Amino acid sequence: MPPPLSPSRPQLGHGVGLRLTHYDRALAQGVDVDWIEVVTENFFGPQGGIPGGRPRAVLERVRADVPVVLHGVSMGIGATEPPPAAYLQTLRAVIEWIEPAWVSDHLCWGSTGGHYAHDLLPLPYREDAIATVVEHVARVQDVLGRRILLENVSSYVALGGSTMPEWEFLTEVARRADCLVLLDINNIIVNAHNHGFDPLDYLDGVDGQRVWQFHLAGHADRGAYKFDNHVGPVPDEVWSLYEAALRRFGAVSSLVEWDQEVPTWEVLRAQQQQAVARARAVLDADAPPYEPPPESTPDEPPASTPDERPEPPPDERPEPPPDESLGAAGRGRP
Amino acid sequence: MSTLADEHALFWRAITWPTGVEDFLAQADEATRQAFAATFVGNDAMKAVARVNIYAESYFWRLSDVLGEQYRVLGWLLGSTRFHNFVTDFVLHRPSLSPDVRRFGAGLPDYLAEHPLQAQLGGLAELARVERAIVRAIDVPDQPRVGRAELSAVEVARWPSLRFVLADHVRVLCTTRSYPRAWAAWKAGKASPDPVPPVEPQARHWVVVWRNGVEVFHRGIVPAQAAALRIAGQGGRFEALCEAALVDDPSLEPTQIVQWLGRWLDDGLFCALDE
Repeated sequence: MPPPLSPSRPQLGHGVGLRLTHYDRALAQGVDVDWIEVVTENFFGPQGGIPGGRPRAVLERVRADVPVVLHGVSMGIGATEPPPAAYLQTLRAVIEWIEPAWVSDHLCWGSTGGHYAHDLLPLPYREDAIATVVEHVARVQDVLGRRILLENVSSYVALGGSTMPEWEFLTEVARRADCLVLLDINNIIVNAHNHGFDPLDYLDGVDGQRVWQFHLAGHADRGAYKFDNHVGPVPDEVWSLYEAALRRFGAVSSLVEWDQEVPTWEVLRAQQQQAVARARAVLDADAPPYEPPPESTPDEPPASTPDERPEPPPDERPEPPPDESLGAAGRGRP
Repeated sequence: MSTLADEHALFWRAITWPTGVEDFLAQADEATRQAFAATFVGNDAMKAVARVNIYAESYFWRLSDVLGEQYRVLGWLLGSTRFHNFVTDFVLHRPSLSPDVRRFGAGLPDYLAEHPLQAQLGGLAELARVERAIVRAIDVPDQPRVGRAELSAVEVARWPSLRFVLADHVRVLCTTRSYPRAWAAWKAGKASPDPVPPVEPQARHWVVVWRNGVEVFHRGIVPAQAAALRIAGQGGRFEALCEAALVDDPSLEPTQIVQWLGRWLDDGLFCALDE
């Protein structure tokens, strides 16, 4: 059982999600942000346990400098089957290896009968779903010996039989399961558009004491709906809701996600710096109001992607590693 | 009222239907259609079918994109349309069994070996096995590395009885199409061949895949070198390894094998020296 909930949440500051594009940079120079979040399963070894090679080297390099948070995408806390024991064993091995500041996953389901969708599928907001999630969280927290954070997910369809709004569902799960909340500000904006509610009502309905982290990201506006694709800079409406959340909850560690069409580190870090400045403007009474930067983005230095390394001798071919991130897909079936 | 399990099963069937949610409902029985209507809620701006179809699209494209990233040379050789159709078959018939999406493509070479494309064009599954070995080598657990210094510490007289233990990231593979040649063409941005050239009769190309530090490499090797490395992989002693190379190529000079050994050590192919 986790220890009693501290009245004050830990503060990691402001971080970014580390993706494959920036592995070489992280290996060579480290990272100049407060902390890093990684996709947990990208650091599962091929046979369980911890990985070797580049993933191991990168994460150990980063962890030597800054706190790391493990952010899972496949725990499936809302699936009808509990998270598999093998999954939890591997997760525990990764936790013991990297000693993350905390561990998070999503309030959703994504697998059934041993088959994985690799997507964040929505749950109905009703009692039986709460009971299922609470039971699974208890098992997970028991195995891991720590509280986990659950993140609110974007959704595109409402489930029939829901008896409460999403924020009440999230709050009830966190309260009954005695877990914590990773509040994705972008997902609130996406869902507010897709399901027609006021984002501020969402913030008002969340138990701030359990909110330990914010996610900040971009989305695509596809007219009839908004799609959570983590592409592009954080939109103004997400920044505005972030500031509103800071006013309600006080200082909360934030993290910028940019998972597809990933920009240079400098551009990504500029987003993180904007999160810093906006938080300071809201929380520090002496700080000047936040002024958005000029339109221009930092000059992009020459990219150092695996494909652009110097050519090796002709008989020795370095392989560009495949993308390891779980970006949201956004193209249509032909 | 349906249970959570019923709803998940329905959701799953709808989003994994081969041709989308609308077609799923078109072929479904009345009870399924009613359950769908009760489970998924849309509005005037967007009907429930279209909303659930967003998940169906994401399901397919996420898995498809992973395969496209991991089997780039195969995709190049087949061309985009043929590769897309093959990937569609794989996604439909081999759902992901791992929480780690990077493992999704692990079964593709075996699936391809039984697919009509293999019979039609030949030489595809072997290329896929090379690409799989490359992906696998990225993060297999680290092992100790044996270099020239470690070998130098062993008296030369004892070398014949040494076992050079191949590291787990090393794979020696045989293909009927040249992987290095196809890789170079893909890397150079050349257009996919159209039509796909036939397999050369009796062609055998050997390729070794390995990881050096954090980088994964491949290179084509002559059959004699492949024979030697395969003996190493089977736990054979150095003398057996030399014999295998000489059987394959009786004209080999001993100095050539020593040169290979130096290269293997520099590349980090071995994780232990056993006597």
